[in-house]
Amino acid sequence: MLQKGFYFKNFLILTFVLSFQFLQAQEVNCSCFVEGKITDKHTREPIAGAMIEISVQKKATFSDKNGKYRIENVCEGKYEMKIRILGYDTQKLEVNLLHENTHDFRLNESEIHLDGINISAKRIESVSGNEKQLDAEQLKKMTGQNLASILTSISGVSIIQTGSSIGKPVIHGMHSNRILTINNGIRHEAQQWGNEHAPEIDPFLAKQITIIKGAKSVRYGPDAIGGVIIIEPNELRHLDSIKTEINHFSMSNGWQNGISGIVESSSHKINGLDWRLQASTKKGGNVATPNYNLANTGSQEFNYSIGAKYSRKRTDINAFFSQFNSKIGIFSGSHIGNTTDLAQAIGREKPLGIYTPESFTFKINRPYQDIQHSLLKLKLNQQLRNNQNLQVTFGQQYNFRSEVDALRGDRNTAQVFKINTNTLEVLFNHKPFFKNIAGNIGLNGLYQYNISTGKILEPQKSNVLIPNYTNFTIGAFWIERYIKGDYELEAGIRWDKRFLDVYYLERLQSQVTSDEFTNQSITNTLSISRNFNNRLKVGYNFATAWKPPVVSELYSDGVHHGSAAYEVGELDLKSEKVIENSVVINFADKFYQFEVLGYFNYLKNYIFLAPTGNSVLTIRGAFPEFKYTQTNARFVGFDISNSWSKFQKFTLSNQLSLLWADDLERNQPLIFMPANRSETNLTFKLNDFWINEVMLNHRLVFKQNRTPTSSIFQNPAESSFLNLIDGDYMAAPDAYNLFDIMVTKDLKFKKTDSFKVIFECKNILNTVYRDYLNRFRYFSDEIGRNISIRTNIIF
Amino acid sequence: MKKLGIVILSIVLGISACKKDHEVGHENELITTIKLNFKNGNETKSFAYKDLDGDGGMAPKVDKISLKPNINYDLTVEFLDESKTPAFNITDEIKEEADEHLVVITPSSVAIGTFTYADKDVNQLPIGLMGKFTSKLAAEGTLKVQLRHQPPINGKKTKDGTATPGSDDANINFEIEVK
Repeated sequence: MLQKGFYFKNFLILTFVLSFQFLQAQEVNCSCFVEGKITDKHTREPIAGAMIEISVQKKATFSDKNGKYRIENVCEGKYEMKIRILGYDTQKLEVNLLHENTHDFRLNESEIHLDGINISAKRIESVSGNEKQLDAEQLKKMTGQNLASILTSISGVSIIQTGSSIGKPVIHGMHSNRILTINNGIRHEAQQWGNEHAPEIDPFLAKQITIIKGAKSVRYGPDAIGGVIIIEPNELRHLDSIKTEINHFSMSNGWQNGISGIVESSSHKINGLDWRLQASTKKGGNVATPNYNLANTGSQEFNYSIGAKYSRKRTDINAFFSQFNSKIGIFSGSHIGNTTDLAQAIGREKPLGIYTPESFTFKINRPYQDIQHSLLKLKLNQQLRNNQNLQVTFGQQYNFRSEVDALRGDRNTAQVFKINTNTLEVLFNHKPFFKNIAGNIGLNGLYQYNISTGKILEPQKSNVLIPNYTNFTIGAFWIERYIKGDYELEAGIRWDKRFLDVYYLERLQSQVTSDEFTNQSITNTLSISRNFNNRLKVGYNFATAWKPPVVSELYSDGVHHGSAAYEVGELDLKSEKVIENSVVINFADKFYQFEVLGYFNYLKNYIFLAPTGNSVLTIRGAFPEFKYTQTNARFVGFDISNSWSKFQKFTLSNQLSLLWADDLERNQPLIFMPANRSETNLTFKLNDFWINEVMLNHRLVFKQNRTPTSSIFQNPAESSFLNLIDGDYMAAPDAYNLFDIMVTKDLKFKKTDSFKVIFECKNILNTVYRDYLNRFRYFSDEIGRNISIRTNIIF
Repeated sequence: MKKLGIVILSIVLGISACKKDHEVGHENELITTIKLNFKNGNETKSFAYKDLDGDGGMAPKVDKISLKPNINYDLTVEFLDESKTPAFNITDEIKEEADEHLVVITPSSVAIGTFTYADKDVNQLPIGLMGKFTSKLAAEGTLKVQLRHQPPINGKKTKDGTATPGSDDANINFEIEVK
């Protein structure tokens, strides 16, 4: 990994950086130094050429061929240290440099130093640079929001909402089963297929969220077509005392309150045992739009997790258990019996008075969703000789979802889904070849079963949304990374095979029918990047990925509640395949940063749901029929971000997300795609003022003008009583502007390590708007002004 | 301070949650049949909408209503689930929760006839399971039968005697002929 030429260039940049030093009052001792070693977290190999920076002091250096570094002549004080290297995650670390012995003039010992800070850097997931991260500091400012809303702060990521409390992330126009979530190292397996099924993850536990914008099937398996969301808590580490973190938030809209506590420490009795306990709870009542309240929009959440790590010599054993519980009220005004109800709801300016009560309540009535998700993870990390490493990860997940509808009496439960998933991954990191090539080989297995009625092999009812099924998937992959000078190259290949067995009862039959599906695919990836003078980085990524049709796409047959659509699956669907090409150009200098990600994705057999133009007569009246169908599609877009900063006190940044998604067979835009967006942010950092940071944010969401122009299916029957506008019930809503303000204050107390108070006002102007990707836009406006206060205490 | 953290955490953890696994007690409610009984003296004529395999699948069977002109019929409406044996009578359930339900019967034109309610719930609002249908002159058209479910929202009653609140549990257009 060592590059001699690299050194000289780095030295020049370093000189450049240092030449911008500010004049500082030199009253304090400035002869401290920091030293340490930088290693790869997994292979424990030293990392050469990493940049270590103490930005406040304008000091920086690079690690040598043994991974060692030393920064001298640093003044006393508390600083943030930043470690950056191509191919790895940027790390931030707080260091406290203290002068212990000022009057000692003996030459060698006059220098006061901190114990060696050894940093183990984590490899970034994507060589080409199409990934983005939210760190703990950013996440602190967003507590209380659901996971998808948090992710929308990243360019290219939008959200599909069902009311205000249910949000699903959308990356570059792709969502649901086309996005994979890796929660704490385990592939999150739940009921991703539904647009109103939000990820069952507690954002309070996440300390780092990484989003890969683009296909990543080779590493993570099928479904990672649109992107991957990687959610990680802090790694467990040795602590001499008990460390506690408390997060709290209160919001004015819906009187939402939440609190989370994390306690972690190490055992005194058992050497090498570190542990963490975490719990969070959240409760909110009816939320309000600028002009009216929305009935039955409360939500409750209760989550906890327990984690432990035992390390001995070259072996780490990790155990983790978490449970997510949530109950979410569904806006009463969205409960519609049929298309006539829907047409009337759409025709109203404002929902009926009974759905917009004056009074406030926390109570959740029908309809509501009741969700539970449990995760058990066991992981073994074994260091082998020659810097090789073996990881075995086992995960078990249980997802329970019940969607209770507003039906007669207390005896009816609408839909219950119970899905059990076992996953196993074996990953072997081999020793570096020819010094420059490092890589890994992995095996994946997944066994999953869903029970909607009866037992797996003995379903009892025929009118279920998703039939009982078992899914067994195996896969194997091989990825190598080559680093030479400023070049980095990654190539990988993967094979997967899925066996899906479905058991169901046909209408009015008591004999069980079973169907069998076998799909397999080979995917590959090639990424290359080049760094020019550490300022400009250009990356290119080629990847293929696939997704076999999921059970809902194959078997749906019934009315989808809340959306007034009769949905019909298609048994002949083929696997979706994507070919992705993307380019990332990143330029950074002291005051200006620019990044553009351009992507061109071709999707073969893209599966989507579209109105057929026919209607299905049921006892509740006639419903428009929607069918799953396939086409070849093209997703082209750009995520562009610009950021100007001045002396770290003032930052102006803009993020622009643009997308063109087209149905190539019908030569028209695809339905239900995120509109183009621009987000502008102005931040002031004030060091010697009563507040520490002020942030103003402006979000502009354009009108989605690209909607289908002609019908998807041929020969519809006589026209429906509900006129479809561009394949939809209602034309896309207008563009809107939102303004937010956030003020942060760091308080200092003797007993706390950190005490942060954050005040925020979202939608300051109380703007009335509707969003194209909110499924409730037919019924109500989006929520209005929301004032919140958050506290984060670490002690 | 550190003790406080542990105390808060153990309180939160104390609200223990266990694995959810409720087996659904009952199947989804299914109304397969709506029966209209027109009674005049000793003669009762019944017309039905039947969709025994539920939504989708086979098309439902809908009888055409045929009435005599200028007659005061006693009309009763029945809702059944005939996918079960014996058939489950949903009408009883509607009676029990009469203050959350309203049957709305609307002829496509007043020339066919008029419907008046003959039953009341605890709040003195009409239910519509029983009523009078007065046929007029010879005419053809449709008769819309709706079962509006109007459950309370956040504890507040929504039924107000009109069709507006709530959602349709049933909504059928019968063809009707008066001759």
